[in-house]
Amino acid sequence: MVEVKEKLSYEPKDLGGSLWSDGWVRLKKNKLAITSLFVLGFLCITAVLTPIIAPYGYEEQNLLLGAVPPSSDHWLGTDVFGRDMLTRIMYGSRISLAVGFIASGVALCIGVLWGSLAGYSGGRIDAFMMRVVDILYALPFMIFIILLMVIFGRNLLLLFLAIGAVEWLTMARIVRGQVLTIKQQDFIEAATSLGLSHWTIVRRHIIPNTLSPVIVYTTLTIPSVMLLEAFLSFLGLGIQPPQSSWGLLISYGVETMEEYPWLIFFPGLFLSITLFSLNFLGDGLRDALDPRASKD
Amino acid sequence: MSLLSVEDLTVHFHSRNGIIKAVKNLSFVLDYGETLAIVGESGSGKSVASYSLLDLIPKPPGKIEAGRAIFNDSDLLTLEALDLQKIRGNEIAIIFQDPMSSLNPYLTIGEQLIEPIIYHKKKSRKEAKGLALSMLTEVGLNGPDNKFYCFPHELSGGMQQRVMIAMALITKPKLLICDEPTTALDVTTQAQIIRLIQKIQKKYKIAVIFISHDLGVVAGIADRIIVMKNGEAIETGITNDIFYSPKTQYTKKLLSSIPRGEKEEKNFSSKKVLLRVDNLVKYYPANQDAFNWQIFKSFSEINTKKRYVKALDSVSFDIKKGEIFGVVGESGSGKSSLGKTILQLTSLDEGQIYFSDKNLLNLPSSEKISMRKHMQMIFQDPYSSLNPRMTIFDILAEPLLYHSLATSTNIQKYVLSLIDDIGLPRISAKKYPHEFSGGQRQRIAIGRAIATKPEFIIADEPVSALDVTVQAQILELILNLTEKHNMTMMFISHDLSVVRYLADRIAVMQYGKIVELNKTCEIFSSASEKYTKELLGAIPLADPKEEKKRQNIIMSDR
Repeated sequence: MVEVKEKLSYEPKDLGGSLWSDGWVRLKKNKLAITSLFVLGFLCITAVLTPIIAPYGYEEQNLLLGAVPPSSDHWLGTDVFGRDMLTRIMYGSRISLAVGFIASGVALCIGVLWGSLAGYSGGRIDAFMMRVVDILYALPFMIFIILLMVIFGRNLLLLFLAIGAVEWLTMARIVRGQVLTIKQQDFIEAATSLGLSHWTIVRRHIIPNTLSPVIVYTTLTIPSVMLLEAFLSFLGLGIQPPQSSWGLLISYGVETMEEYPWLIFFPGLFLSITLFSLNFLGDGLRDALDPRASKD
Repeated sequence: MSLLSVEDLTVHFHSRNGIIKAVKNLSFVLDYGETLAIVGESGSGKSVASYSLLDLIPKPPGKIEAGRAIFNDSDLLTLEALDLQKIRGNEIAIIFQDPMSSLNPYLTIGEQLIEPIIYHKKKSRKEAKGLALSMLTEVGLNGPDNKFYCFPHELSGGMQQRVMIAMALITKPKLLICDEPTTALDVTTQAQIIRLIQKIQKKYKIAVIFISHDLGVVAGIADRIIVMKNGEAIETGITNDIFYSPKTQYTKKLLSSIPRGEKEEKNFSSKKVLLRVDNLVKYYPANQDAFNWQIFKSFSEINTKKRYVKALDSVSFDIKKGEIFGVVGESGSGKSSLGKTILQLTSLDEGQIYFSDKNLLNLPSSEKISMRKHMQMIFQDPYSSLNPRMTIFDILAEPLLYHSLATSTNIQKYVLSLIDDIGLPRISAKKYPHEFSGGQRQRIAIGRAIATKPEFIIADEPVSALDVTVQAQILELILNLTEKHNMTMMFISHDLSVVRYLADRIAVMQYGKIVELNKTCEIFSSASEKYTKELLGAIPLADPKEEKKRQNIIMSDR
């Protein structure tokens, strides 16, 4: 059995490859998506390297300086405590990007697996799995998170998991709906009559066909997760100052928007750039992975 | 003075990849009460031509470049939208191919029927309802009072098409355009619908434009025929001339692709039995009404009333090695369930299936998988039977690799020889299913089915979604491949003429039972069951004179 699985993952080279390699070729032709990919890559690298390349320390205050607009010393200005905004945004990007990608990744994996298994199994298993989703949906989100925090203490990893644990529910529903229609198609029966195992059918024939809505929904999940983190942090359930995240910076910036507009403008700008890039990349991926989208 | 005269109609579609000339300089004249058939393969422009008369083509990309269409002294192509609306559905009515998708599922039949009368004839609801009921009776629906309040999904395909006809005729049009009105229907229903159109046409003196891909269907109904190819009318003439003395090569090809004749009789008595099914029974829970008023009665009563439909009712037969076994029946007769239960794609309630003397139902699960490579299936709809996100190479390689019939080093050789076998260019391996036409897709599906060199193949209506000319090619391919690889086949179809062409024996199914099972020649020469005779009588004959003769017999029977 192991041997067979290895063979299935074999990609023919000369005859033009599989969905993924063809998709990559097509994605490379999409300039907007590739630019977005570079922007996101750049943001991620700076986030990782922040402790090394940041111009100031993240808790370095300069109360005498106070809030100053952008200058040559402080490219993006400083906040009311005289902390360098560029530094804070760079440190914030570590939290925001990590929450965005990890929590969405968790939601993506659980949601796709759960939804496709429920939809593919059908019958009682499906009913049971979806009732689990319904029950979790019905739990008030805030109480759920507060409970987690009370039991396990405040912890960044827990925050990721908690958000992911809530976001996968919608993903599971979307995927299940999609799977129900795919399951009706004859190629699933054809695969069954070829003797493929259930898991192979789900992996090779079902999941690839759910990609379009999954990609679109994921690109929508990432920003909403980032904002959710800001909301939780604002309530004191997430990360705490002097740590920062984009969402937190924005929500503090709102308070002083009239006097110090750069405090909201720059974090907002970075968040917007990230979201735009994600959307363009998501659209590009969706088209690239759909063979039916026009080739030119 | 003719009813409709079309001159030089030219329609182009402007797409990103250039201009597609859908209709080129089409001209024809239609008299009052006349039937004109437009015949051609899909993509020949036959539908576009008639739709553009009523401004029903999408614009853009479609554009009527030139031409005139004089109907009642006005040119349909230059009429204002509002004036055209008064003609459309009122003086010119149209019946579409798929009745299910042309009826609104959220409105009752009655509501949809009276809409055109209220709009076009300015009648009151009450008058409109009376008219609608009489029209429903006219098209042969039993119990029109009940049907009036039915929703489309509660009716069968044939009944839906009757409703469509009633809807088209309710405003007493002068011209009726039928766009493949019977293609989605069973043979017997097809015959009834065609007869209905003829009857109504005679009664109300309506002119009919009948669009079809099947010359056989139009033989009995058309006065004149236009044969279209690539947007051009390549042959026009009265029906008898087209059938008995076709002038162009293409018309001859169309005529020759209608499956005719019988397979030579072979003797299988000495051969081994490959598949034996014994007393198969399969139940489906009956469709409950959308809202069951019995809920207000006691619950226990409902439980006892839970009804089942027998999709298969004690079906037994055996298939000898090398034989092609035809299964014929209308939709709902259980013929597809039969195929799927044999392949164990659906479960089974009673009975046994033996394949090469092994009982398939109590095989150990490890053997079940290896058994799969000996039994394969070709599906009806080539558009849904191929995974749209896999290349042809991957689709064809999957069964070979999975059953370890090839290794990653020699898989290319295997797949390429498969592609040669099914008659596609080798470059196809790189492509995805959507880049192929229906016939080519069906070839790929056949390739996948024969990849493991199975001994037994079930073909479930493999050609019913295809054009006649393509159908002939695919049948040819199936015949060649079964002979080449010495395969046994069960061929399921609603079309007796197709089965006659390639099956050695035929089983006729009705309501889940095999009502008659005999050698092909015997079925056709001396059918004993009434139902078989009905099916035989419904096959459209691609011969106008014979068809007219038969119609007269049927008419006088009534």
